[in-house]
Amino acid sequence: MSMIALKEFKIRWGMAIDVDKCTGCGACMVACQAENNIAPVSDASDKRRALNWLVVYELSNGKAFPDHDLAYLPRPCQQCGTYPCASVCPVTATDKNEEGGIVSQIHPRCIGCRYCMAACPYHARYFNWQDPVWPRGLEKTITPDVSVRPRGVVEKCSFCHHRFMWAKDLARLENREPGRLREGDYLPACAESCPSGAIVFGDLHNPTHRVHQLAGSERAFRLLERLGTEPQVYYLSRRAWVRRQGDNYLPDEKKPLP
Amino acid sequence: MPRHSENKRFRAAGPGRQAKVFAGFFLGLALALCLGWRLFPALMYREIPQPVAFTHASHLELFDCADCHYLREDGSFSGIPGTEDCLQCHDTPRGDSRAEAEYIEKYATGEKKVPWLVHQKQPDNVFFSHAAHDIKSCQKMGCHPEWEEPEDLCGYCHPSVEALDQPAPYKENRLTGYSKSTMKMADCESCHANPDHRDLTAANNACFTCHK
Amino acid sequence: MKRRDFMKCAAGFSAGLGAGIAFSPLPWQLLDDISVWTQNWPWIPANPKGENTYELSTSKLCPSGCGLKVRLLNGRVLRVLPQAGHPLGGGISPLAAAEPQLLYSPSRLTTPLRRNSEGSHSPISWPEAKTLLLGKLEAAGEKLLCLCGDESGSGSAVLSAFLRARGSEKIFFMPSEAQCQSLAWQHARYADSSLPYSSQAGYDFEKADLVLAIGANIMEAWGTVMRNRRIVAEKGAEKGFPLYYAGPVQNQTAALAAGAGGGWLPIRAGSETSLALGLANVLARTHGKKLAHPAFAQIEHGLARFDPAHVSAVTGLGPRRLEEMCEKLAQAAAPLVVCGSEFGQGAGCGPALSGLLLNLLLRGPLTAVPLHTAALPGARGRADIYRGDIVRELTGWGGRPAADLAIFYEANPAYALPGAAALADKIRAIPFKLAFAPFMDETAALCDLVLPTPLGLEKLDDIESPLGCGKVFYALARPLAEAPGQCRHGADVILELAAALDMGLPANYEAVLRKKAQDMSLSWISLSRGQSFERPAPELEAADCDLSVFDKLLFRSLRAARGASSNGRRAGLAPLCRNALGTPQTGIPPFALKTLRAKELKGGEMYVFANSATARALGLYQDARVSVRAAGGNGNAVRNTGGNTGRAITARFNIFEGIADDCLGAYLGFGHSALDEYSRGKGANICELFSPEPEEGSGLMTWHKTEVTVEVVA
Repeated sequence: MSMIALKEFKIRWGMAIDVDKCTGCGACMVACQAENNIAPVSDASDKRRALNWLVVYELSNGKAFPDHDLAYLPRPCQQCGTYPCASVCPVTATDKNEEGGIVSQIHPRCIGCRYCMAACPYHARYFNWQDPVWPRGLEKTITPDVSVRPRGVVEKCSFCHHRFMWAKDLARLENREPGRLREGDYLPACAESCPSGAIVFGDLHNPTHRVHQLAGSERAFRLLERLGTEPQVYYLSRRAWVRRQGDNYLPDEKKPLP
Repeated sequence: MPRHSENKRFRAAGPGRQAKVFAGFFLGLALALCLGWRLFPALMYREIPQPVAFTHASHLELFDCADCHYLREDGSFSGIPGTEDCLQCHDTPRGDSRAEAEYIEKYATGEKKVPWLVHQKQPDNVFFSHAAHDIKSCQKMGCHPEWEEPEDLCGYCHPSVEALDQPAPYKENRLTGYSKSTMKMADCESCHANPDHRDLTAANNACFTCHK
Repeated sequence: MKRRDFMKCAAGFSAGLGAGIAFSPLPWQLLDDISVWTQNWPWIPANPKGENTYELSTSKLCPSGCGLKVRLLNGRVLRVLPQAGHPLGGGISPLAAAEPQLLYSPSRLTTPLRRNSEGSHSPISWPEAKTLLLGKLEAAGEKLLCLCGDESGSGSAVLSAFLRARGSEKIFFMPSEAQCQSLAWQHARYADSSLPYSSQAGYDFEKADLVLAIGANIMEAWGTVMRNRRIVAEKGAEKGFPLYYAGPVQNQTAALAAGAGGGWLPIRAGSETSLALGLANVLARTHGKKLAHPAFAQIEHGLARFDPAHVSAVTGLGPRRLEEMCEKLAQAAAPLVVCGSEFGQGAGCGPALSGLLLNLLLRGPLTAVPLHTAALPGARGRADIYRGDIVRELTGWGGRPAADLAIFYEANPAYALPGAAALADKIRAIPFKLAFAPFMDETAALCDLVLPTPLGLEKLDDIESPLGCGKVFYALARPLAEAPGQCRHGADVILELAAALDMGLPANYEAVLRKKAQDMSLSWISLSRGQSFERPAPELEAADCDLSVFDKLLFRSLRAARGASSNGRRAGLAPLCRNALGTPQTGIPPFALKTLRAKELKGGEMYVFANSATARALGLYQDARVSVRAAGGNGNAVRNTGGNTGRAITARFNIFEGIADDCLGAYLGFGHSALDEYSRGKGANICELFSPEPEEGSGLMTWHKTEVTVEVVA
């Protein structure tokens, strides 16, 4: 059980990721790296160097051919309601204090102690063991939107928070209420890029948003829900074995599936 | 501890000797204050002239601030106009000042970008939205009746340049490379963390409000 | 002053100094400044600043032809985003999204390069290159050969017109699924050759209420993938969509099929045609799906052999599942079957023809998409060029090459042709070789002259109805980024040479494209702003088809087909394609490397995979280092490439249960020996294992039934 009381906001940005629609193509991962200035590495299997804010995991039902089934599960930061990471940060470099409920990560404030990485049950946080390096010329792909992180700090997915800021600016310019964005005004890069429309993004509190409806679906589940982290990322699957892999169960556990 | 020994030591110090200590102390204090308040700031910054002797005063006779510094269609701020904007008038020399001739020769002819020194340049980890800092929303609340023109709020962060015939002096911090007038987090927090603003304005002090 | 007094004075002074400093801004501001200073290390790149603009275009790099919304910062290409409302778009493919990094890659070619006697390349100027080339063209006469890697653009028309003017007809495309589909289509549809234009099969996903993909990885690497995925997602938004995939590997299409509520029908590698004909047999026999045509009796006779028991033996799929699939196909109102090669090449006409037969029986929403050829004197259409087969051409050469000058136009045959190394030797023997390439790839490395070309976002080019799209599609790729150095569009260079040789071709490529747009009555202004056009194509009618083709080509080709065998330690190779692994000319884009999972690539070693039963049969275990060798000895291998049998690659072995029995899965796209650090020295090139054999009937070279032996090495 989490030590932190659930932090509530008027808006709760959330995702509903349809695992059944994901082919594991990796478009979201590419879009995420390009959007958030994550440096390329020549050996991506070297886990000390390869950072990813979003990873697409391959799930298997564990059965041998021909009963085998597989699914792909994209994992951004879960933006937990009872954030285990921010509660252990000794310098408040990570916090959940903004309307929308996105867990912030302030890189220049981070001292690199990695407590948050130990606390995060989703492995959503990454440590810069080395300075990021863009081979000559490739630095031209660095965007103005997200600061480049030096070695020694932890980083993670921010739901492309800069796009939230843009959406609010555009709303202000068009004399709309920045606190009441329309569905689709703000989309993270992964949700925007998915060719299957597997990632639906919006305000979990707003009943007119699709993500609100999907989160209430009987197909919906969250990762490690029994830890009480209250993630803002929902997953959807028709397949019971996929839903069951969203959490840890004892082999003979009788608890009904989520 | 025996009291008499303390007394003895006190007596031994004597008023005259104490004076020497105090004299030394005040001398040191005066020197340090002088160093810390006057010499150090002077040493810490160096003044760099702007690349072009731009005059806001004479431009404002023809234009409004917002003709050059405006919000783009996507809500981002245009900042300082580019050479192509300036060329709309300055493709040929206007007047015969030396600054004009220099500008034409150095930048206008080759359509080169002017390396302006930006007083308010923020670090990469800061997200600042000009659209969000709009005087209209402040005026709606009526809390700051002294703010009448948009420039009144601009002047809260930016040096006032309307009346200047020369660019405002730019002082660069030798260590950080930022301008002396660049706002620090505490300056942002003077509004963002102001308890009077709580629940009244959209300003809040969440980390991601300003950081990226 | 006594020493003691001085000391006291000094102590006071120090205390005063300390107090004064503490009450001055010095220490506090210094601390603050130091902390600010540490936030901006000079070796950490800074964020650029400036104005964002957005431009529309269509991807020339990604074979799916997906729509792009390109974000430019101060006029420089920064990001590639999906374009909403694009007919072939939806989201964005990982390859198209990764293109900006390729643009700015330090390994881009920027000047013409001439190979010297030691084999290394040195820069020369464009005028020098042109003079050299004109001299070589003069000397080569009509002994020219051209291999074109761009199928959807008008570059091939320009090249074919140039070649024809020089007296050569030897223009080829790189072997592809589009070629197999086109040839099958031409055989089936143009027995009478009565139509004034050529066409290709269009798969109208919009109209389908059930899709069965046999072999073809339609959700990842076969045809207009982004459109296919968008349509299936839209149609299945609420209740899922009946999408089925039959193939040896539980690939991306199979994953989507399982998620959408359809399913995966595992069949052995290379047995797509047998499955399709088995389905056709049951549909005709049990479900009354017949064609009212005198030639149908012949077809039924040919199908008789493919009863469920036989098909089950060949494919490994149980007869029950075959019959269930037939039932679903029979019940659907508009079922669509897409049958092709699971790795987008080398399957011959068999899969395409059997798919066509199934669609005819089921009256699936297949369309005949007309193709337009750029109006150049002597230009050949896409369909016409497909009739040539580069693999047959090269393997047919005896000791001496049949061409004196070869042009490789955005193609990398030395890497991507089946049995790559053997055919690379044939290419090496050509006296003068010219490559138009954006990077120094395997082919450019052995060419005598290498001319740098722009990438998709840097050039003006066109995209016409890529493989699989159901309607007529036309769009321009726009030059949104400036090409580095002295890059020049290959088609422009060819037209310049043509002008020097007085061939009467247009002066530049833009003129060719403008004329084509005019011929198609499309607005050049809209096209050059990035707008794409889509027009409906006529539906396929059985009456338009020559039904005797199935007997002549299909059943004949299968007479020679062998059933999958698993004698000894053999397995059928099941190659896989992945969009993120790039193209042979560009290699793997840096961004895409991280999409590879731990059991796909580890350091410099790639993984091959099989299920646990096959692993047991082959004596393999998890993470074993294995040697995969092409198994020869089936007697059908063409002698000229026969050196292929025995060539081996090494890899690690992974147990993956999502693959049919007796199959070994491996990814195409690894094992580059050229290109940059993101592609070079990663895994092995499985093209080396392919042994092309001619398909009975069509004569097209095929290599989709490659058998391999696998053994553990130290």
